[in-house]
Amino acid sequence: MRKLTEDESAVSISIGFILTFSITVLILVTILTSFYSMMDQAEQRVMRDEFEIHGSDLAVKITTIDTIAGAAMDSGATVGEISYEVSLPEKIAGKHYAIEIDNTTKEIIISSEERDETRVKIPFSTDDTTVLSTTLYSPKGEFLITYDPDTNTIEMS
Amino acid sequence: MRRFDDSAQLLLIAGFAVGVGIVVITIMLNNVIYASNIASESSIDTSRYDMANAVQMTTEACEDAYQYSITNGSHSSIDNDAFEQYMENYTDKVSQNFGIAGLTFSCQNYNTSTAHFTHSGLADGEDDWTVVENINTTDSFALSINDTSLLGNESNKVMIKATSTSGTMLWSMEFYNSSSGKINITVSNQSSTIENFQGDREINITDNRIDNGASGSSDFHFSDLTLGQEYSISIINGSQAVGTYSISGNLSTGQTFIQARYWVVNPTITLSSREMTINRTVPITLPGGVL
Repeated sequence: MRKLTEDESAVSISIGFILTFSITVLILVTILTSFYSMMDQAEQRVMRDEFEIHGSDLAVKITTIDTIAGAAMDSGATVGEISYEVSLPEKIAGKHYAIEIDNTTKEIIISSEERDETRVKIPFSTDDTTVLSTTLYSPKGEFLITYDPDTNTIEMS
Repeated sequence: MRRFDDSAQLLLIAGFAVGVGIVVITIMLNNVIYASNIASESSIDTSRYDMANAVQMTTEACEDAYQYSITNGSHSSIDNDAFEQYMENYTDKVSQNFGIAGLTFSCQNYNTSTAHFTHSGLADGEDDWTVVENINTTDSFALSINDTSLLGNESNKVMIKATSTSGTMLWSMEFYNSSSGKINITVSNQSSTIENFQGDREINITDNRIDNGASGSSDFHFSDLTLGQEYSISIINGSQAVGTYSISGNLSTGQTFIQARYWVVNPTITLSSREMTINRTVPITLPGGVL
């Protein structure tokens, strides 16, 4: 009677190799898939962080224009021009994105490739002016936020 | 020992797996670190405070320039050259100060003109506004209508009223341009008209006189009807009159107040930087809050 560990009856080198190779490939594929999934999640998180930063910056500028215009109106002054030039990166995490200003919900919505995972909504507030709804795309790079004293509106273009 | 001899290939494969894993982890971390660095970019915007400062400084500069340029202490006469010279010096100095912070500042069009009885003093200013609130006593209150041709007619009367803190109108005075070019004045208490006057230019409410009349010759009943009350003084339909006013007294807090308006100036200030441009006027009534 041979010991179980020393008994090599019915052991095939070919089958052993195939089994070992298959298991190795399976594990490698699983690990790689997990890493790609993690990378994708990290990319989306970074996108949302970036979008929040740029969205907040835009919201601050819109509110600043509203404050300056409101203060001018309260004092009976005439506003000739209020404008901000805004430079935004064409791509974030290697992808283009869209900036939507929604006057109904008072939100700046930024997303990449219309994916929900990358979408962020940044609220803005105006007391004395109206912000025109618009959608802009990042390849433009240079944007302009202007106040129109005739219509008392703020527009981003 | 043969069993362990077979394990060498497993060790080899495991070594490959670890190697590939390290490469993948390195690539992933590299991406995360790179992206995080981009995310750290942000900016702090202070332009609203810069603009508020510029407006406040310009207002004070105009008030100072006015004091510097009134000739012989008379509010009816301003040395416009002196006023402009003062404002040009102010603009130069402030431009230098803003320049240090990377901002370009300019101030233009500081010509003085006669004021309307609107909030800002300009023709298109707010018509209905409160001059002083929480008044305990009014020591002096006088106004002058510089040009009766610019005064509204009977259907566009200007009203000055004293209203208690509870909202009750204590006293009011309406004035308008009569067909004869005179100023028609109607004084009312809470419920009805109590006096009617006619005048050419000067109305001194607390001294109870019109134009060059003797003190007390035209009773406006202002002091009697506001006695013992805490009230505010408002102007209604102020765009229908051009002129000056001065008022002084004590607030319910015990503080004194002095306010006067003889002129209005409406300079245009521009503040710009690499990324923003702000251009607005600053209506300033002179001499302002303090004589």
